[in-house]
Amino acid sequence: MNRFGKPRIQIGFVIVAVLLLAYPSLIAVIGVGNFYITLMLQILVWVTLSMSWNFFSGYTGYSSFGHGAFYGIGMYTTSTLMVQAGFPFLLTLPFAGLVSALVSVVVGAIIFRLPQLRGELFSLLTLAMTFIVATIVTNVDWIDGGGGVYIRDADTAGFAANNNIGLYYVAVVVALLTCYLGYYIFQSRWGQALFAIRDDEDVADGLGVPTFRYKLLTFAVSSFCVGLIGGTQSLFIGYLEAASVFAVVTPLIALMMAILGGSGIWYGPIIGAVIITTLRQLLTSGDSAVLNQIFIGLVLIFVILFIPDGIAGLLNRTFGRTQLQTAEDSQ
Amino acid sequence: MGSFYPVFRDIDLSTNILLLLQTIISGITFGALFGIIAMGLSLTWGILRIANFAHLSFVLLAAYISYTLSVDFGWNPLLTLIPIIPVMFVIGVAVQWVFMRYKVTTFTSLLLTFGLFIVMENTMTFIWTADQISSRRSIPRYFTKAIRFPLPEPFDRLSLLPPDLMAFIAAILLGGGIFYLLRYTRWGRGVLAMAQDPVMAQAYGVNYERSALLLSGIATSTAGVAGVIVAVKTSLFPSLPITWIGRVVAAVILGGLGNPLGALVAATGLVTVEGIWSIYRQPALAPLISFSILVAVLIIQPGMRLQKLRDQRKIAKTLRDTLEEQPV
Repeated sequence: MNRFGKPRIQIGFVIVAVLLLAYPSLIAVIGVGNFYITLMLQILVWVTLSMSWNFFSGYTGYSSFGHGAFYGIGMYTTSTLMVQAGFPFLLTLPFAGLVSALVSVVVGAIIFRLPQLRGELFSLLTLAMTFIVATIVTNVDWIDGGGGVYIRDADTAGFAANNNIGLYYVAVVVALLTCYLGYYIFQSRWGQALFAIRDDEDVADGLGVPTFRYKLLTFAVSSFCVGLIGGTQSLFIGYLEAASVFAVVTPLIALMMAILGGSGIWYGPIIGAVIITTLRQLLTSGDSAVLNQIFIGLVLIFVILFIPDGIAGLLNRTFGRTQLQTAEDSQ
Repeated sequence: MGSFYPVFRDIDLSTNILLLLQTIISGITFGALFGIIAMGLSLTWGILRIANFAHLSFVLLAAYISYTLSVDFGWNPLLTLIPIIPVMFVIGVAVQWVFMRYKVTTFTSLLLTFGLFIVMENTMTFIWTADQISSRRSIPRYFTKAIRFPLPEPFDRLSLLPPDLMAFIAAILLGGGIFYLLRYTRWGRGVLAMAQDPVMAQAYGVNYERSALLLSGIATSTAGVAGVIVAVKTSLFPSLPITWIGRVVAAVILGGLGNPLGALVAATGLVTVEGIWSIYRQPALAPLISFSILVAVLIIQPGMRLQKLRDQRKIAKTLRDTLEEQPV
């Protein structure tokens, strides 16, 4: 193995990439309809969200409720640049990521300096940040101003045309990048530092782990990925509205997917995101948003009470691989 | 909840003082409502280490029950307290029982109650629909008609809304009651001991489980009282509690976790400041005030230092007392 991970896993990434890129053609050959492209697009979006939530929050134990804000910042950066400044879609994506990362650095630089803001206070403050961002967006006229933004008209290159096929390929790239980052961090020194922070931050600090720097860096990288996928999703939605973009439930869904899949293992969020997104899409086609939300809440409660280390943890236990062995494997 | 303060479009200098006074009166009385909500949250969060987010949903649930009883069954809103308080007490006990049964940590409790929050929001949408509903038309007029102050010119133009007055009185009664219970009863002393160190408290004979269940029941009952006032005060819709999160959480943290009176004072302060901001600046940005104050205070942390000082004094005093009690 080299420092970029095990060859076995690297080959796995390449195979998955090829399969995902070939997926639209496969769908066309089988002829099962466009619903499956949209479904896979949404799965990729949620994999990215919960993966990036996990490699910050799952690894460090700092549970962010603010990823909804970064997601929204990504969306509005893309929409503002496209609608107000006439940028082409692809060019807005780096900005979507960078603006999110910038906000996260500012917020992180304040919060991470204060040792009493750990645990539930960190979660609540990042949630508070979401409300602040939402209030600003609603009140600034050139971003949204309260009336919502219609973004599809600015899509001159046609990424959302032809059943979102362009967006699908963008999402594949972003999701793969995020997953690879999640894996890379997990198996590197970087990840070891984050796990040390999760287990006991004071001890980690005492042993010379630069905890502040690692937290800030990971928070920024995580929100960069979220910003990228937010930009992608904004074109998919087509019409942005602050209330739904910054919904409280967004970071919770990402968090729930990660915990359901197994937040201590890098591929946990992928399992969770695939299961939950598929179930949600099936429920939504039953045409009830309310039932959908009740379902999410109940699954969250159930997962936390009964399978706190997730499906991946459950599999590991069943097949006799303990946490310790998993960690050793990744060395 | 929309605009709580009378909007004065053309402010001339002579009415300015009056307006400021009115805003402060409304802010303090209306802030008392958030104070009641924050008190309950502060009790469970600070003492039982359960960050019960669903506390806000319980307030709305009580409000909806009160609405249904007063509009569909013609009850006087105050009478709805009689069934609501015991129901809320039972809910509070049940929630705490689940937390103890599964040995939930503070952080996990936040996630769990957030899940419950979402379930409740949507269940309430199911039962009462997502539309805004208001009980104003169906309840006696003395609940909605503004009370004028019997003061000389020009102060007779100051007024107070009955639900705000109710909130103010309820806040004083509940705050005083909780303070009395915690300070001057055996049970309350035990609860305070639990807040400091649950294990030691149990070693000295505090029945943790029973005290915790009772405390959670009391905290949730106060949510019931707040709910009845909310039902009289504003129109109800299922996502209403989300708009409270900011103020309530800010008040709980500013007041000091586990310090219900602190939370009450902080809540009235925050709402008053928001009101004053709304007169002079963009009212839409008022929700940012609570957070800005919270973040500023957290960074400067005078409260934390004060708390530390107070703790040190308390420890010193306890030491002195014990030494005096047991002559060597």
